Amino acid sequence: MLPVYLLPLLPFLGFLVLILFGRRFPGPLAGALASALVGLAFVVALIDFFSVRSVPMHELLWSWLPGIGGKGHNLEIGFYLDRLSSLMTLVVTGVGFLIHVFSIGYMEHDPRFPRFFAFLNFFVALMLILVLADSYPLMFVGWEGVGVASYLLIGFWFEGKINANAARKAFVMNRIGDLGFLLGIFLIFRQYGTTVLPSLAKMPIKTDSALELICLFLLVGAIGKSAQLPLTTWLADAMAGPTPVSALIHAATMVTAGVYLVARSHFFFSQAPVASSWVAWVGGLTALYGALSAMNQYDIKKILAYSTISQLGYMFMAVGVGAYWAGMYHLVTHAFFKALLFLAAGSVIHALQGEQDTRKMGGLAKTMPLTGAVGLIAVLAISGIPPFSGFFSKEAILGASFAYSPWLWAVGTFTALLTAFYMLRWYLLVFSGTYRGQAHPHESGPVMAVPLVALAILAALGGVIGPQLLGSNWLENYLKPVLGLPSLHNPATTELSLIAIAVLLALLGFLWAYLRYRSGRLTDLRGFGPISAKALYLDDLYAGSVASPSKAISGALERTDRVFGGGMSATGEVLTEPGRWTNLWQSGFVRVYALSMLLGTLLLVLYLAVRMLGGSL
Amino acid sequence: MIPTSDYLLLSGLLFTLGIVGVLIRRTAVLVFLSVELMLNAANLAMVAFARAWGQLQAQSAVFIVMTLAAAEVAIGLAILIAIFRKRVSTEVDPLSEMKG
Repeated sequence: MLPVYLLPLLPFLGFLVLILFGRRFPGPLAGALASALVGLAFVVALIDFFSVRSVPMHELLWSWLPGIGGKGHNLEIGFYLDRLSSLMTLVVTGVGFLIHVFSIGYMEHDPRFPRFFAFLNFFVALMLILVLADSYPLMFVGWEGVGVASYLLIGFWFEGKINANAARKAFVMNRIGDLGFLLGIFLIFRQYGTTVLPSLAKMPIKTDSALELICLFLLVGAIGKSAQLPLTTWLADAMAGPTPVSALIHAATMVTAGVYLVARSHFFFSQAPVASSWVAWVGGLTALYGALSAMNQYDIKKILAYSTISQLGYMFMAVGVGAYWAGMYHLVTHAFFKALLFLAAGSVIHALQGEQDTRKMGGLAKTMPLTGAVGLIAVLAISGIPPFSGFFSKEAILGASFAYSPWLWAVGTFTALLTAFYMLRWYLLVFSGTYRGQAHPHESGPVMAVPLVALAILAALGGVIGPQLLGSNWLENYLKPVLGLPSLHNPATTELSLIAIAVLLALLGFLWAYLRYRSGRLTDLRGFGPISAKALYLDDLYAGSVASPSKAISGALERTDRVFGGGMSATGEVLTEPGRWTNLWQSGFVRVYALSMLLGTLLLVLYLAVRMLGGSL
Repeated sequence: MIPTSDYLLLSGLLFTLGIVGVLIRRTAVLVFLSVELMLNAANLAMVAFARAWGQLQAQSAVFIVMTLAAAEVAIGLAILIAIFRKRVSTEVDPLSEMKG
């Protein structure tokens, strides 16, 4: 077993080397170094995964805030590796490694190539700190760190104003959530006197209003990071970043941190029924919102962004209804198939020299057969078609939510229908039919193809870690020592009929998309179309209700400021002007100074002479 | 014996020459020379008065002035050389960086 601190340390070293000496790495060497370090971290995660099975590892590095919990109670920098965090480290480093490798090909022509990999490594390091933190404050450090990485990478091509604005938007909206997270931490400390996760997990936690409040604050934090309603609008704009960034940060890992936070805090949430139902319903509504918004998008990445929002909603549903393991299950499978979808989109964008509009694509399955094939696998996986990975995890969530509330299940199942529709629409627009653009598409090189194939295998077969059909399953049993109580289960017949309904609806969604495709109306959803294309006007709502009033206020303040500022400057001018007149005396000519000295002396002599003569007169 | 007034007259002449030199000469070396002339005019006046009054204070003051002049020459010439190295000329008029 290897020390846990190696996990964040390896990518962080890569970040330091690349940010300081990036220019010394010619060609793809910087990318190779960054990928190798993340790959090494994956090996460490794998070794620790197999050795942490029985007892969790709690590694204390040094004292950070001595005496914060009263005398003798220090807050340490410490890493906590149990089954839950171990699973997350595998996802972060494993998927992260594949996306690093893919980026070597995707970013090959970029002038800031080493810088890109420095930021990616920075992200992985901070994400691992978030995952491995043994206390909420340290988790918050990672939480903010990945936020910074996200900001830097969304705005990686900062020459474009849109990209820079998208980065700022993501950062500001996340700050709103972070405030909730911080308040939650403060309240936890006040109520329980410690913020260390393993100690809190051992405490007897009673259901009371303070606990509900803590959980709601944590939920606000999770909502910000995971782009749930109502803080959801930043994720679609975050697609301004390079596509591997969208795959790694805004699909597979960072945005799932909210789900991880709730699962990590299961000892709170399982005792807080009100806050948990909020989690579940926020998730359900966001799942529906994301799916409705994805239906009529044209940008190849925006469809996937709204789909990510929707799938994150599923995960929130799961952790809200108490099926923490199902949330983690979907987190893992989603990391596989959504990373795959984004990388496939990246492969397409790369082949079309940056084109992202699906109306200028089509027929790419012929020119890019591999990308088309892996794209199809990912579409089947996300739509919940057996036996692909998404099927199993989605069934686990829908089953648990049915046991919790049939209404929530109905929302989730309807969303599954929409998911199948918009994902097949995505596939048909990009890969089927005839090519509608001007570029000359070509299949991507091996450095991009290998990660695609690896992720395709994972997306297809990743479900094996926890199929619920057999009653108990590996993943649920694996996580039981951490997450405790088993989640709600339905009787076998109910479970089977739920599965049948969901699969039927998914196939119906496929049929719907295919029929529209056949009649050539895939890009034209009348009635609901414009609403979906504008993402249900949520952005416009915020622009009207928050942005314009604050712009008006700041405009008024600026004008006031200008009046005051103008007055101050004028006073200064008036006072400076006489000073300027005396400047004229300082002409810079030495001989003028000599002359004035002489005249001054003469004046003095004259004065003395007059005084002396006056005295005698 | 030469009357004191003659000495004073000569001293005044030398002093005027010095002032005129400082004011109209552009070369730093000659400006410097003129300053020395003024110093020595003052010295001459003091020595003449010392003789007239038969007292020694003024004579000792002359020694102080001479020492002072020697020190001033040392520093002044050093500055001059530094300026010359930088500008290849010792004109004083272009030296106007400190202008207000």
